[in-house]
Amino acid sequence: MTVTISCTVNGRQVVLETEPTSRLSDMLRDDLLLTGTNIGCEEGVCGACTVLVDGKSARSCLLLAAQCEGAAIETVEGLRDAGAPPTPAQAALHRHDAFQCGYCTSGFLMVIEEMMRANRVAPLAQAEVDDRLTSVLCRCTGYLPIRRAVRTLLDGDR
Amino acid sequence: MSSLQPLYLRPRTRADLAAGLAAHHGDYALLAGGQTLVPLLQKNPGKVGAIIDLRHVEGLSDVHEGDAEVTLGAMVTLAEAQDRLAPIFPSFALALAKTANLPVRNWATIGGSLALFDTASEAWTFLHAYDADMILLGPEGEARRPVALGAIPPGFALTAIAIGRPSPGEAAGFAEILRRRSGGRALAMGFARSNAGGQVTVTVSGSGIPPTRLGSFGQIAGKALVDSISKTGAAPAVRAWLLAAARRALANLTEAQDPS
Repeated sequence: MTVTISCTVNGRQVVLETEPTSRLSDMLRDDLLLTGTNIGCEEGVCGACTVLVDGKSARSCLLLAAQCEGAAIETVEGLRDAGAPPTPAQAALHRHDAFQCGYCTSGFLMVIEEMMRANRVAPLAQAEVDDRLTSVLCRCTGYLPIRRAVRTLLDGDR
Repeated sequence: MSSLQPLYLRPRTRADLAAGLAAHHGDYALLAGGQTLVPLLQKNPGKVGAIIDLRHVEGLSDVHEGDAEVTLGAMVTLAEAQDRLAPIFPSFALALAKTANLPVRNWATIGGSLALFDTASEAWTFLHAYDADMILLGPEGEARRPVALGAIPPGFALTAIAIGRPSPGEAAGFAEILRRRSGGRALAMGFARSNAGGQVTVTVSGSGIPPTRLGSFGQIAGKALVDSISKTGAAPAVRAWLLAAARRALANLTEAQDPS
């Protein structure tokens, strides 16, 4: 039993057959080889697998691939072209030493991308920024450098 | 391919949805946002014969703000509900803001949250406190069923939730007790509502205790509140959490009535 999915991934049209219970994270990593989306807890807690679906952050381990029929999916690979310089968000995380092992970083980058888009419409208060950052678990940094990087980035992005 | 894979149905109309429900005789899982169902499907492969995806069913994401009641389509996400309901039910918007995190709220739906009838659900507790009705689609079409009656019978799908608008002069307060300040599953929560006449009702839930209306109180609900919680049948530790949630909800109600 398979199901057909037609969607876009990082702007590219994708049509594929998958099992009904395959998760979006499986489709991205196994079928499309987009391994920048990391898998941690596989139950929606850690946030490492966060991607954007129709512009909204989502745990790719908590969505079936088949749910994404007709959706626009963005992964960390879509944030910049291969070989291009780091994005402002990547540069900010680097400048503020906001990662160590880096396993959570692709999840953070997608959450930050969503925040930057929202911040261009209406400035995000620090409480809102903090709330959104807590959706991804980081066990290396203690969050303070990430918080500083994001605040600097959002203030400079408006 | 695994032989344990279910059928995957994407109905587009309510008629197609009703046909899908009837065809699978209870051997199906309704897929709303997937935030609870997807991990369950991974842990229990082969448990259902069909997944019925509600995402494409017409009208299930609609919000209708009528004069007497607000109707939320079952597929309205918690993030959307938080935005849309903030002007009408600010205490519920506050409760939703404490539910999981934004990536989950972007996908978890009001219908899916209610349909689980989880005692740690802010949605169930609020909807119980506000005497909301479920609108269920079944073999005979759509019918209303009070949220207070609990679980959805097999063969029915929740399509919308109708909530009566607050009466003039009404105020509300919400509070929940968490094990960690950073969030996680609530130990207990409470909604306090006051009408224009000053009567207060408090609804509490959590830790296995379903939403329970504690009765009507004056503004200072001392011993009567403690006595009401004693009658819930909760264990002593849970009673303490319920009482704390109720008292904090009452304090937040007082603040909502007089922000100064």
